[in-house]
Amino acid sequence: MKGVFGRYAQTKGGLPGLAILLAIIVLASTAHWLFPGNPWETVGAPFEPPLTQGLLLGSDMLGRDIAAGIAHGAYVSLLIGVISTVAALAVGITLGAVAGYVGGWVDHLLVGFIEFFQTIPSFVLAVVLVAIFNPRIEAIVGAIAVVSWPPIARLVRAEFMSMRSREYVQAAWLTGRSDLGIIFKEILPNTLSPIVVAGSMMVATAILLESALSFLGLGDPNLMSWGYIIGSSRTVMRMAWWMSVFPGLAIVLTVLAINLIGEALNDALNPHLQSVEEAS
Amino acid sequence: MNALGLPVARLESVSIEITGQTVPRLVVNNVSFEVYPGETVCVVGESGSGKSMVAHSLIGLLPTHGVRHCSGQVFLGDTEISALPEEALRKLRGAAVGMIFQEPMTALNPLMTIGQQLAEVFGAHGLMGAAARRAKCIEVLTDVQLPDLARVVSAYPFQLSGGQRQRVMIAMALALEPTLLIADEPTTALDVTTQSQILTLIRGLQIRRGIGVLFITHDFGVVADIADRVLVMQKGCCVESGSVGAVLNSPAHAYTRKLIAAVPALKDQPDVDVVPIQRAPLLQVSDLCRQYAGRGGRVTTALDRVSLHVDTGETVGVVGESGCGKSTLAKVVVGLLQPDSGSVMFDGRSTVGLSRRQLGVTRQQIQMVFQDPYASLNPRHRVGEIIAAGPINIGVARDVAHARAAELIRIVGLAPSSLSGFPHQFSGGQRQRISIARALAMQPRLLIADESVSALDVSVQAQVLALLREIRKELGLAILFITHDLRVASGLCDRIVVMRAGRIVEQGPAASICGAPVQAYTRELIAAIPGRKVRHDVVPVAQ
Repeated sequence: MKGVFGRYAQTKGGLPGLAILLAIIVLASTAHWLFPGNPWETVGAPFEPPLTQGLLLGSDMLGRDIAAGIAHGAYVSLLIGVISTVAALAVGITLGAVAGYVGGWVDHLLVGFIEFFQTIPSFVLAVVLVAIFNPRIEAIVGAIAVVSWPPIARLVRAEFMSMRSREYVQAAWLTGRSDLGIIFKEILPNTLSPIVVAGSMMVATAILLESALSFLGLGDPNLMSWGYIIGSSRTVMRMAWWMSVFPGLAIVLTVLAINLIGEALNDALNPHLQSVEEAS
Repeated sequence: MNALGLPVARLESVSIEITGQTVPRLVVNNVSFEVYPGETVCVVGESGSGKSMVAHSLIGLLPTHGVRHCSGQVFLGDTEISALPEEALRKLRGAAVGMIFQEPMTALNPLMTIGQQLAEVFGAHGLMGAAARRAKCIEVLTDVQLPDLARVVSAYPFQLSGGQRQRVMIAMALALEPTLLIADEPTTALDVTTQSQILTLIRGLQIRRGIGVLFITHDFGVVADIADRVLVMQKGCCVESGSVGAVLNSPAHAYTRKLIAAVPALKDQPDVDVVPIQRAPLLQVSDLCRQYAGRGGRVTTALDRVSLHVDTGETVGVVGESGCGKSTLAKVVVGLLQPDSGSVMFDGRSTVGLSRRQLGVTRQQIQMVFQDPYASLNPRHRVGEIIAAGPINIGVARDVAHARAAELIRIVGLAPSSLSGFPHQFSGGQRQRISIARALAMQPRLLIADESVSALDVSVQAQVLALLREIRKELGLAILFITHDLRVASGLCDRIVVMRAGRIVEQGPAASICGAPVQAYTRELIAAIPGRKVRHDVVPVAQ
């Protein structure tokens, strides 16, 4: 394990990415201590610029603390990003692996199913899904997962199709590996790099999707989120720049950190890049 | 020798180093030679000897990163090229020097027709209009003796055979009538008969046009057929050079002797250490048929009523050109493919149409060693896991399986520390040993080796063959040995089956197939073997 982390640490963006993400996680988990109370509550005059009245990042049109909103929103954004990605990966990998490995009519059927989802513009589908099921956090996670899995399934299917005829897969079959064993132990580890990269990008996209939903007013009304703050500030963007800039920065930093981590993981997990000296 | 005038290429004390690692490493160390018009100079050595670097330095194709030309001069004609700017080099490539590569499939653009790619060569050097280019294409393709020109010109690379693609490459390399042709292992990926045709073609073109040829190879058999002069390279140094006769008949350096001794000979007497064979068929294949549906409803017959048997402890060679159905046969026998009709009996039980579970222990008893040492090991798994995985799958305890893996890695001649390495840390020959260990871990009774030594250098090939021989003797294993190379089969097999276009042409004891072939096709295969001038009594000096 130490070896993987050592290689991870040697990549260019790995440690900075991890540091930023850790900082955001710390922010999310300490929000209740840093900004006790409800972030929806009014704490000062409306439209206070940053660093006035003891408000670090200023206040919004109802006098709510932007900094508190960002800290509490971090929890929501990360939670939604991670859970919806895990759900989308689970569905995408399973369907993609089965389609690619089994082939034949199963593949045709599954590809048809995947394409059905891909023909619908994903954001519109998410909006419709959230509108149908009340805008609660479960519905938002579910909607994001539903529109995110098809590209993963396609990716995994293509990888499996090219891998299943490799000689080492045939060799595993000959030495009595079960089909599940071949899928999970032989092929899946070799498709990990693209999946990890795609997955980390998906966390970022999920955070953006949630922000976009909240921007449209389809977020969970009980939860403060970055997208909601940006959304509510759109009409006052010229007079209260801080309302949209700071949550926007939070989104940019999180997405950047996750992408850096994804890239670094890809490099660290790839045994081809391991140095030769290590072997001897 | 027909050395005339000035050399077309000359290297003077050239050294090249790899700078990527912490310590720069010399891959070409003080190498000098020249190629005169009308002669073929062979650079011989194993993988990693620096022979390709030498060839690439002559055409300015050294990688720009991580490789440094550190001293010496490279002349093409009388131009010193090592310091030339890229622009000037590009004018020389094609016009003064042409190059052909090992794998013609990857050297050709898959999305362009042959005609377009050839026309591009003329276009890149600013020659002629479209109609004239097309005429010229036909002319150069005729020169490399391609049949059915109209089809070839409008064909895409994947529609041609390996031999035809290599002919196209030669045509392309010679299109602008360069004075030097560099051939980097041009026949290594081809089977023996095609190799022989390509060698004849290169030799003919060289004599007819009076050009110089620099031929890179690892196979002294090929050297014997084509070279005028030979340069033997080991670890970047030139260890021996001289005329082909002198080097082949009285090699001075131990390494040269080793390479010459590694060239497999066509044996027409059985080996001394024959394994006792029980006359009871272990594998009985009868009337096997298998067809593939191709593009546009075309059907290829890969197996056409093939019947053969392998006795317990017997080694049977299946020999034929690529596309003759021998690999399909292997896949049907191990159960990776189902036959259209016919039967496969293993140890008295039919294996056709049964699932792996129904086959039970029979399934484990047939194991396979694959062709490509780079594709047959899972790059994510450690060698120990790869070998132990099979026994663990069939219920052997984890520690027992790993103990067996350690034992096997010793048997196949690798260090115990190899178990914790990843496949990419090993050479092709070592990987093939790991593949063999993986197969043996299942304690098979029949081992199927599908072109298992074809991708290896001759010297490494000889070592892996020796390993197979030893294993067969120690474990009493039956082997179905599939190869395109009759020489290799003759040295290992008790019986040989010759296949062509899905059918068995001839089968019998190895000695009689190689010594007194009945069928014309078998005689063709024997005639195609390179290096029959190589003396097989050269004994490698113990090091």
